[in-house]
Amino acid sequence: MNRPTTDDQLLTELFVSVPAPQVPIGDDLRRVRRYRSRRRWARASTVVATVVLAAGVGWLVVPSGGDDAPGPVGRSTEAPTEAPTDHQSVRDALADLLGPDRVGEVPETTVWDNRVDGIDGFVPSWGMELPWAEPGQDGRGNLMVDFFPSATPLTCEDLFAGIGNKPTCDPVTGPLPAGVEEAVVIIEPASDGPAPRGIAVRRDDGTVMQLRISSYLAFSGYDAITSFTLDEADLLAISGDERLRPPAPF
Amino acid sequence: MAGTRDDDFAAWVAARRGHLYRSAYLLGGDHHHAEDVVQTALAKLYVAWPRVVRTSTPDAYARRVVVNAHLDETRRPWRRERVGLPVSQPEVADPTGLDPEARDLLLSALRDLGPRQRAVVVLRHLWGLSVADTAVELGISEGTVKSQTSDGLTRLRRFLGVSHGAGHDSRGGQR
Repeated sequence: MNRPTTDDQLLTELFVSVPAPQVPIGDDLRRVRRYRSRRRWARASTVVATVVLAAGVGWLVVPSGGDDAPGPVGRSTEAPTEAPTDHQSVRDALADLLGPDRVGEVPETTVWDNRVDGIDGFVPSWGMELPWAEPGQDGRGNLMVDFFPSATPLTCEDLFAGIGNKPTCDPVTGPLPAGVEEAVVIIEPASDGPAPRGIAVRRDDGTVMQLRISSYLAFSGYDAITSFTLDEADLLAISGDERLRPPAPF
Repeated sequence: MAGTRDDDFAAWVAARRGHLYRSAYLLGGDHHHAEDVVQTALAKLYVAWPRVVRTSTPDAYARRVVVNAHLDETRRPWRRERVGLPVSQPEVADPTGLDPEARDLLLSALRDLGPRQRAVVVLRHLWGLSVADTAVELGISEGTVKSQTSDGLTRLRRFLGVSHGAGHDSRGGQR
């Protein structure tokens, strides 16, 4: 065996030595053709839906009477009814609901907005990761809030589409908070430290939301949280709050 | 003409799938996820094949999908916490004969690099991209590529306890 003698050689040989599975070309071809078919079908469906929607909107806003028929209602007469949702407003709501000493600030977080340009293979989503503190502990965990399209089924297969190692989603059969139509507890495989606490809910306003607390705040330099003082029931209890919502449209 | 397209695509997959898979694995650190990413990249490449072969190269397109998937993933804590580079699969033969211990050490060290820095190192050393091409690929400056390459290799070297001297330093400030 020729031992590499430079960093370059060592790295290159390391990278090349990563074993790769032998996948029959035919399998790959079948998969990509299926993908192309689904994509074409989705595009066609979108076009049809857009045409139908446009026709419907046109029917609603175009005056049906003569010249003296009232025109469309001007936007200037509509007063805004509520402040727009953004990451900060959702963070503030979480801090209000779970405790300001526990929930970190937005600038420290990872935020994402993949509502329109979703990551390939993953469900479009909007959300963020906030630092999470527990009383008496110096470490930091993370609190994740993630919103999905209203049509997303409340199953782990759908919520975590595109992820290899999916958790388990157990439907909540007991009483649900006001405004929550459906809920699941997300159970993850055990790892070092306390198991993450996670739930996902569907509210009657169409919001599909995941809340999750885990013990580790990646890339922060903090130690992990060693124990939690709240559980899935606490997350479920706040999940009906209307301040926890994604920006429209979603 | 569909046959030609499929033939060309199949030929490319046969030649480059392994390389693409290694990239995804080194970036994401998980064999299952690497396979998912590769399949996604292949699907997108197949759909875009006529345009890609006309305006770019399949290598560049597929590589970009894999790298973007990696960088996007690091923004999602759910998957980010799953990042880890386990030891190589025992059932697959090592094609190079590289000392398994050294490889495992390097994989562990690679795991400790930040996601973008890992991308820099992989693009430079697996794909052999130049500083300029790596900068364009990742949307960062050439200076950042150089510094991240240099720092990344320093950390890898420190982890391994390997000292080859400054004369053998990597591609960080060259090309």
